[in-house]
Amino acid sequence: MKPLLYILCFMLLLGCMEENEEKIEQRFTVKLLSAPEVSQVGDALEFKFALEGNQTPMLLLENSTGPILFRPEVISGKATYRIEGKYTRRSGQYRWQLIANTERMLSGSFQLEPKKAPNKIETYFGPRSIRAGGTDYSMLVIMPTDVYDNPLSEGTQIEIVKQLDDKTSVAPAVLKDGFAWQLLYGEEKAGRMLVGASVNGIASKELTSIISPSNATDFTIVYERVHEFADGNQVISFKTDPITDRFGNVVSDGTLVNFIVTNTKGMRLQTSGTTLAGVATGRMLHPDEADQWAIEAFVTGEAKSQSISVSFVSSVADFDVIFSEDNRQMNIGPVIGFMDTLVPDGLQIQLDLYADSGILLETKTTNTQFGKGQFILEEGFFPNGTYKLKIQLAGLEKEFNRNLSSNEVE
Amino acid sequence: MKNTNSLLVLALFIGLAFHGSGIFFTLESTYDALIHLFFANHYADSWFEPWDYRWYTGFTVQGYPPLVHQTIAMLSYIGGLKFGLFTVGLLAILLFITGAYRFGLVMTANRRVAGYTALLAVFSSTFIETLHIFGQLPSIVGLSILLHSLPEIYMYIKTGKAKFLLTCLSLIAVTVTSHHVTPIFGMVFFIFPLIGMVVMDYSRDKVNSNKELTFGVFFRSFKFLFKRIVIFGFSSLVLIVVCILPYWINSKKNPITQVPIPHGSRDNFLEVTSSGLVFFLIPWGILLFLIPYIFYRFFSKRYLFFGLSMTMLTILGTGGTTPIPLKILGETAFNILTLDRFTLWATIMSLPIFGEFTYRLVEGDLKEYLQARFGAIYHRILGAALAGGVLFMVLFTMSLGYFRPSQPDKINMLPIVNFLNQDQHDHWRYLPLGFGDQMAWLSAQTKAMTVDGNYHSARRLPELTTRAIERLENSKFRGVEGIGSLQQFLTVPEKYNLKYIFSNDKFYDPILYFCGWQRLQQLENGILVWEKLNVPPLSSILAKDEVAQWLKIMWGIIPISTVLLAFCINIQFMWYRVLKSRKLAVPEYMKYTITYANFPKPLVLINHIWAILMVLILCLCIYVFYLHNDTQRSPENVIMAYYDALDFKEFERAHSYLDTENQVPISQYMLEVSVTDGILSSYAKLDAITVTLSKETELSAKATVYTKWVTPLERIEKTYFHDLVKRDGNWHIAPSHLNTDIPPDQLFSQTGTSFYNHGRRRVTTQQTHHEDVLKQPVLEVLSAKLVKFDGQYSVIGELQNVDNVPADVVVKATLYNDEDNELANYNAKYHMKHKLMPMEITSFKVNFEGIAWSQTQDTLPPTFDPDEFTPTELEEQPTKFNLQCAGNVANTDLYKAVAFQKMTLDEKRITGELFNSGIQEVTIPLLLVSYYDAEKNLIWVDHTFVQEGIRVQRKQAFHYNLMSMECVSLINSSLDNCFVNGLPNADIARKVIPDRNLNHAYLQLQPVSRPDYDFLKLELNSYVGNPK
Repeated sequence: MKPLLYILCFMLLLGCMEENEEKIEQRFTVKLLSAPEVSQVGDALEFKFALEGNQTPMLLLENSTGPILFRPEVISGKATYRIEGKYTRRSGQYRWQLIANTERMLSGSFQLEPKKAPNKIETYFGPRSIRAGGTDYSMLVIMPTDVYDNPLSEGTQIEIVKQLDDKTSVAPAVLKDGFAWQLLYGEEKAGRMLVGASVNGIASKELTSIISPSNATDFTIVYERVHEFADGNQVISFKTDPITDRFGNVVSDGTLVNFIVTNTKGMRLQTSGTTLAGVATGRMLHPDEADQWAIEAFVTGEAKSQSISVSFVSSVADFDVIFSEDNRQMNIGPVIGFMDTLVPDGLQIQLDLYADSGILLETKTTNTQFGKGQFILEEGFFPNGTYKLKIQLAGLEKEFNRNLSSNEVE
Repeated sequence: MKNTNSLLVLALFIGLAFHGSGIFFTLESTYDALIHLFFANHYADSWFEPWDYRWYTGFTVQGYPPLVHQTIAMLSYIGGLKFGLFTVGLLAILLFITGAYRFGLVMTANRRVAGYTALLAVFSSTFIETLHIFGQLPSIVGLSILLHSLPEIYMYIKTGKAKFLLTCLSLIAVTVTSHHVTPIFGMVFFIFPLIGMVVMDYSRDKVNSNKELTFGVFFRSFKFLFKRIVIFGFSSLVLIVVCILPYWINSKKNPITQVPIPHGSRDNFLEVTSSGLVFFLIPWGILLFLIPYIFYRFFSKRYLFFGLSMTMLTILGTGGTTPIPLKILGETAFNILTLDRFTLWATIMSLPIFGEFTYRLVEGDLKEYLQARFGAIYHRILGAALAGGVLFMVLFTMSLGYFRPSQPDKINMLPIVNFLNQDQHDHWRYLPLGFGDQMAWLSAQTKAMTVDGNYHSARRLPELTTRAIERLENSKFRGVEGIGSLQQFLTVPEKYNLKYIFSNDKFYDPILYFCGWQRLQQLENGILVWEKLNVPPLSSILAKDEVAQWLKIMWGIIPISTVLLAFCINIQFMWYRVLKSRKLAVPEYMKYTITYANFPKPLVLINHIWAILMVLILCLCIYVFYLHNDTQRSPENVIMAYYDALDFKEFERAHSYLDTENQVPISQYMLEVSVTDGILSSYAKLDAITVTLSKETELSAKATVYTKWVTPLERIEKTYFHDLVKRDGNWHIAPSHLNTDIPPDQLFSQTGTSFYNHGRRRVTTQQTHHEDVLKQPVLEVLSAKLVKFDGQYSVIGELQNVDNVPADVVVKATLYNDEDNELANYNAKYHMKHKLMPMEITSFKVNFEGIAWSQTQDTLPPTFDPDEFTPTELEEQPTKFNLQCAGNVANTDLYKAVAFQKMTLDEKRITGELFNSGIQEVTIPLLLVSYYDAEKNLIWVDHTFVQEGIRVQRKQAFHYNLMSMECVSLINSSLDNCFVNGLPNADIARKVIPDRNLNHAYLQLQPVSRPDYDFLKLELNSYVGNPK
């Protein structure tokens, strides 16, 4: 066992000694023979160096995407670094270093120009909709790039095409820092602005900005109805004239118009409509009693209409109430309307029931059917006694003082 | 043939045929099976990674022992998840029957009796319920393996041979990894009594007769066996801890913060009869008739400890019927454990005794006694009654899921899965509504994530853990609390990146609409997809709780290893037994066979009395049930039945309760029903009903019915009055008045502007092109204030869509204190119109609910009730606010054709009619009422849901009770910190409508003469349930 250990130790020592021998310093110099200075992207490049000494240095090439190391081809002391086209697709500044044994021997830099011919134009356009009036604008940003997606060189001429209101105009722009931009103003007329750009015959895609109408201006309203009677059944509609902005553009479809109706009691009733081709329509039922309405319409904050007034006359002249023997059942009607016909179904009848002391006990409502209505006062809820009964119908009112008495359970 | 038990073979044959084919029809609609399937899917996808992002915004699967899930996962590699599920189901059946047999053998030492035990196990209603209704596979597997381990434990303690220690421990390890609760409680309720029995047997060996077996003898034997018991007990404890160590660590790290979720097994079974049926009557089944015999046998000397255990289990299984379980378990355990498992164990424990009884009845001493005493016919009748009872329970339990489905109809998940996979929809979270437990099956099929989940012990979001709700998906069944919890998620979906909702239940539609969601499309399977605009997608890196590598490896490897090990160890003996290749010694426990002779005669009598008593109770129950359900026997009953019928939309039944003489024809009634719409008739669930009768005579009565309805929006209380009459002995309801209003014309036409927005203009999987991204509509905040009302903070204001396109609006308010520390943030819920036409204005109010506050612990009200908002007590008072409004182009739900008319106003209330002038039926109108002071400054915003819908071209009356503004105080009114689409509001106001005429808005206000305010504004938000 022991001899083997000695041999091992000896060999280990021998190994260490050899390492030490390597450390002896050696002279090594490099001389630049040729290096590229300005070139175009995609070109193959060549670096040549004269070497003295037996080391092979590496070439470190850095650009905006990162570093790459290259090995030389060494023939009789001359090192040639060939950089293929696929490594030079990025335009801009490149820096190179020759490195031997982690030591920088030489360094330099060169510029790669983008291709002259554009390949594609990237464009961004926004906002996608602006307001008419000529003060609002969209901004077009143009980035023409070469076949390797490098922005074209500074000063490249760009043509911006704009189509607005059937007129096409072309404006020049110049590339700066890789892109060009321009503010494109709308006009007083609403419509659509189409824009695009071209460089050396290469065109961008077509982009759009909608020029939407500006704020609404005051407008007028009218009403339409079948007759003037307050039958609570027919529909009255309020219509605006085409609402426009101050440039004469019809406001956008869907703009909300509020119609506020003030009746004689001072209540504000309301309906609303959305515009279609500038016209908004609001609908409401006729009242069921005589009334005088004042109507105004609003595009709130921007515009309002004039005030118009509409009057309704009562459709019912009078009505009958027939009580049962115990006064617990009331039959109202037949109620006759303005043409001496039965009123339409659904006319509301209201019964206010007061105790003898004058306190309101309950309000009951029903609707006419075939011109008639009925109330039944159940004994369970209204014990026997004297009550004041007030019946209202189409704005008419009748009052009775009746004594409710016992009846059979129905 | 001596050792091959024909009864066992028969039991296995029938069991596999019956249950094996049954599970294909039942298992998928059970409560739990699909949850286990989801877990299995998790393991199949990532075996060693315990974190799953798909539920509860991420949770760990280390909260449940993994063996069954991992087995299904492993089998799924062969034939898919469902193949795995059913294979494990079949294995569970096999293990259970053989387990019951071995348990029977160790208990009775009689192969014949054990055979009967196995046969009865097949038909035991408790097993059927656990498997076919609850789907608790891990529980069954755990219990079955535990039963298998019992003979081995017996043998070890009796003989002390290491071989048996190895076998029993290997089986206990499998039990532990399949179900955690089983071995822990199994230790107490099965193994301790078994040890007691061993000691008893050991003592019996020392003496000559049972009489001589005194406590002293027993104690000496116990001392002798103590070492073995300790070795076994300690090793089992080590296994319980080590085998699922990650589980224990996880439980320690994430203690269950969940507030107790009500479970039927904790109910008082006498009060909640449905729980009594499911958790007491069905599991016990036919055993109920044999209780005297079972307890008589269990309290014999040998089984004494089983008797104690059995008594305990029986009592614990009664849930909240008596206060004893609560006292024994303590508040915490009582509220965490589901107590049905105790009944399960009790009934399984009684199986050998039931087997023994059957043996004695069929071929033993009982048969002889009965035939001698009552004759052969009576014996046969008795046997047939018993068999019939067993059969009835089997059929009843199996059909329970058919007649009372616990789940919605089976949903075809493919369209949903496809939808989630399309167009990057899985970059957002989704939420299923009304899916039942099938939501787990949906989750298993997709990588998309949901905020909901189906394993509530694993929840982490305080929004969920502080609510006693099972799932958001079925929140309507938890009443106001459930709906409240759901509303929080719907109001602030941005917080959870929740963008899509799959609705299988129309009930939730209104709340979705009023929270600002919109309908996207209906999938082929009828599921309606809702979406919310302005929700950011999930970030590509999501947070998770990391656990140590070694825990992950343990979790992934140990469970399956325990099975392999147990298999290797035990199969050898099984092999010997089956092939008889080597002669095996007769097991120790087989020495204690008793000869069944001289069936105790008093017991026959007692059990007869008991059985008759049970039959009487049963009849009484049926009679009470009949009285209670005889719908027209009393005025209360008919009212209850009528509202029950309305609640379940059984209109034909409802119609049958109406007065026969003044009756509306059924066709007329159905027509009237079909034209009524609104929140109460279409979206409400009856929560409580009280009937008071007045003027009750022999033949007539008046009923005042106070009802409480849970609607998706809020709790509604409504009082109805009915006249009741009695005709031919039956009570009837007098029909009520119907509005006879008719519109002037038959046909209407309407023109209008409609909008369409392409999902993707270009069919591409890339990001949407820059020019296809729509500009966000510009909004302008007209006023914004921080106010305090009744101790509650709100941000109110008005906002206008000043763009040319309709806008969907989201308003988010944040509160700050004087030091600019954020206190709370929340979104406007339904106190606003979420969809605005160009130039439309909405008032809005943001209330700060539970989860909005940053220190949830201090400020959170204990339970959320949308009606009774608990004001939050804060040390720091909010003094400033920030308002972020976002507009997105809207193209749906833009119905504005409702007019206010015929209004009257007094000091207390405003009444009027709403007229629907358009051609869509408005299902639920929401009335927003804003209060203004004399200078027309906004003071407060309030709301009310009009309870009836508005039909096309018709009017609907409404009324609103005016509030007092005396308790509103203004804290801050400013437009400084208001932003629209991220831009300052002031810039927008300056640019878009520079010369705004404020008078326009003022002219539209309704003057009112009140001391505390001077003007009102009414606005309407119309929900159209079925857009045409």
